[in-house]
Amino acid sequence: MMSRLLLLFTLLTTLPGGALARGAADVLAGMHGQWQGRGVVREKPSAPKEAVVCSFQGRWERIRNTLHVRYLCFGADSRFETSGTLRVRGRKVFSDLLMHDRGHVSGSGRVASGKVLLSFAGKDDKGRRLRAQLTLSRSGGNRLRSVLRATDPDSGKMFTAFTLSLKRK
Amino acid sequence: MDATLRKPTRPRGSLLALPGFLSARYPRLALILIVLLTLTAAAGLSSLYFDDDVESLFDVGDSISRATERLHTTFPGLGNDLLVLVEAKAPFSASQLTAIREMHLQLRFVAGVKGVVSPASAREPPDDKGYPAPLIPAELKAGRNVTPLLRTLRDHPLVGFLLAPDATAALIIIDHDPKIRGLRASARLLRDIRATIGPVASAAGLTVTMTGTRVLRHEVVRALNRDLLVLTAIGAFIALLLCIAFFRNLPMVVMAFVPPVLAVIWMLGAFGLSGTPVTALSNVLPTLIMVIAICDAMHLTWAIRRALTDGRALPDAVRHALEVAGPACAMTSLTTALACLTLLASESPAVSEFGLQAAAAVMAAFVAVLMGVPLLALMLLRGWRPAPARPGGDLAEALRRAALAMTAFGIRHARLVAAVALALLAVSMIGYQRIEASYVYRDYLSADSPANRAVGVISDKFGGIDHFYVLVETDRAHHDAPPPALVAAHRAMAARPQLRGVYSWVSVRDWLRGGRADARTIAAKIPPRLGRLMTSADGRSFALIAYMPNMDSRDAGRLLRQLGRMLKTIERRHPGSRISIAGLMPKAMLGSPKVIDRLKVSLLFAVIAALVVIGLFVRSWRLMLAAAVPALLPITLLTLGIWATGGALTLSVVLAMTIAFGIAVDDAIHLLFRLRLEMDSGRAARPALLASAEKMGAVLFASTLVLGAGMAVSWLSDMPTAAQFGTSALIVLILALLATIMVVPAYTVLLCERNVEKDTPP
Repeated sequence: MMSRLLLLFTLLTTLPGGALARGAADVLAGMHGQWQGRGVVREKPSAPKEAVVCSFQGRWERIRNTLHVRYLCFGADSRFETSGTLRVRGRKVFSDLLMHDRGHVSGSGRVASGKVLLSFAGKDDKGRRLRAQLTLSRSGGNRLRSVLRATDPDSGKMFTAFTLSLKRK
Repeated sequence: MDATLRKPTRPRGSLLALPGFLSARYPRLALILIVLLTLTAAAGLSSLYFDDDVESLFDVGDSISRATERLHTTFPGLGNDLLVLVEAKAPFSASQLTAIREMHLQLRFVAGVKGVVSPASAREPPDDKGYPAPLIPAELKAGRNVTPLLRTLRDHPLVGFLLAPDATAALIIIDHDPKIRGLRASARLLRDIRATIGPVASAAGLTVTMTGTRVLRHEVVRALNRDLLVLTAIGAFIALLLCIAFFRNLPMVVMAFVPPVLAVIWMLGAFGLSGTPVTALSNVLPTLIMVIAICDAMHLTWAIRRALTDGRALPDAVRHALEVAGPACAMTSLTTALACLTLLASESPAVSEFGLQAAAAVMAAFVAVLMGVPLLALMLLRGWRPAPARPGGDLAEALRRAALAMTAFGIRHARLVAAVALALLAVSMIGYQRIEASYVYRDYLSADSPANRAVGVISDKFGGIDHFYVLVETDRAHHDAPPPALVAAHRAMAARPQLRGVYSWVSVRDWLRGGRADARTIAAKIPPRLGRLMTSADGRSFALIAYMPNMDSRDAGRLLRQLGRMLKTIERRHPGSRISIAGLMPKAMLGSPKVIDRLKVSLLFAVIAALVVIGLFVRSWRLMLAAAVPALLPITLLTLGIWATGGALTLSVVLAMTIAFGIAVDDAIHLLFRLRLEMDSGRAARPALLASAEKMGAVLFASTLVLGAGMAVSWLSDMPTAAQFGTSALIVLILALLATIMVVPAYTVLLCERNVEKDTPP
């Protein structure tokens, strides 16, 4: 009897959370693979938009519930590269991203309605404070949209730094 | 006087045929040596590689070569461009402009691509916050009217030259890793680029063609590779068929054919083992070696056959053949090697190196023939009996009759033939003296090549993509603004109508419309490839790039010399500055006439040297003189023909003349050596000439047929230069044969007959 009660308790307390964690993991695992697409980037709120093409590489590590990511974008004469991890722990997603030659941020977020929503804080390459919000959303099986909103270290103003539409290769 | 003509003596020179005598004496040892050499060479074949740098032929170590070296040291990576020509049927639409940008961006993912410049690189001057906005908006809606945008792009001071005036064509410049070399690596890079841009272009209704130095060089190497494999094989096959028709005996065909093949394997193996690349020049060596070796092998085989037919035993026949034909074979190789060694006088290290390689290869071919033919004869001709004569029934007999008839004509009309030959020589010397040297790099490419066609389109639509640099060096650093010497040079060059575009730090300053134009701004605000060109890190060297249409070296040379004088005037007005023209194009355009003219002069020295060697060999200055007009005539007549039809002397023609002269004089040597033997045996000039024609005529004709067939195969080459080489060599060979068969007898009769008749005992 005691064992049945324990099982019921366990189910009642863990089932919704476990399902959510599995849902988040499924969403991130679905981003495993090579993606390629285009979009626009902006370095500052006042800077003009630049067309870019990007590749996104996601490698899902099931044992650690971690998605290793690497963005590589090229503008006409510029290059942007970001790499890091998105790790599912319980209901949350934790992330650590290195924006090459630009700064380093870490943060956390959640998965809702198939979207990964993350908030970051960190410092740019000159040591100034940086905040950012990253949204990753999948539509259909083969499309991935990625939007990064970030603060301008000079003015503290939030702006859309990049918007990408990627397709699985 | 020519005392030796009076005393019949046995010609010396048997020592020259020593490899043959050793092979006949120690056949097993010779066999082991040949097998070992061939196996070693075959192992080297896998290491064979090609060098695609055609312009290095014209590196003559002059001030432009030195300035080019300084330019490449200060601004690495310049001059190895890869271009994509993008074409549309009408001026580009919005979606096509987006596609051009898409190609630009996608190209940056290709491994080996370092940077890309295209109309998509065009930016506004920096705004008040310092951001230069892209001229093509990030989100350009399909269907939008882009005519004003196209006009703005075309007028852009930095990248406007990448859009054709009618906006139906654009250029994308791809900066790639200079370490990517060799046929496979280049092919991979070009394939990746094509795979990246092809789908984007076709989806937007655009056609794309790759061209530029990188692609052109790749095409040259591909053509060289193909020629080396396919043409050598076809040439060899045709030569084999002719040998079969001539000898009508399989062992003798093997004797005439296998040693030349071995010579080619040895030569290519030596290239592979020593790490020496096959170049646009040394590509002709297999054909050259094949034809020279076949010629000598045929003479030697023919001599063995004659000795056997005369009833000699096989070992004796081989020794006799080596005595009567061996020294002449040695002399032909020596004179050809000598002709090749005159190339050492060239100012171009690449041409000198070729001369040395060719001389070494000729001597290797001589050894292969002298050792191989006696060995094969001893192995294959045991028990051989001559077939019953079939008068007029075979090729050899027909050729013998033709030679005899022509020699008889030369003897009968000696004065007329000699006078006509002399008159032709005098007239044709005018052509030889007046003909101008010319170089057009497109001659090294197939006319059907898309890259070559693209060069034509670029010349028509863009006013040319051939470019050169002006290197301005100052004795103090300039970081904030371009030095006055650069400004003056830029303005003077930009005012020249022949130049399509001039770009330097001055262009950036103009683009910034009075904004800050310091070196830092340049590094931050303009495409890296263009930025790198503007100033050196130490602020003391500045490059200016100028574009011009594709021209041949005569027109380009005139323009570059004018510009050089103008820049020297500017240099004098700006003390502390050095201004030099630099780059691969001016190096080739100004260096090529020097190299070609020097080769032309060297060739005359080769003719004189060969005649002296012939005189010493046959120990008769009269016979030497008898060979003089016939030796010069084929070369001068060819140049007269080219000059009279408005042509110019190209590197291929002058090389063909040098090589063909080396081969052509072989005919004269074989004939004169036989003539010398006949005269030494007491015959007067006329019967000696007829006897020589009787014995040598057929093989002289046959070897010219074989050589001519080998040369004619080069018509199948994709490279116009190779075809030009083959045609020129073929003409020289035919003229040389006619001169040997008809003109040498005429002069011999005129110079020797009276003397011999007078001195012959009653």
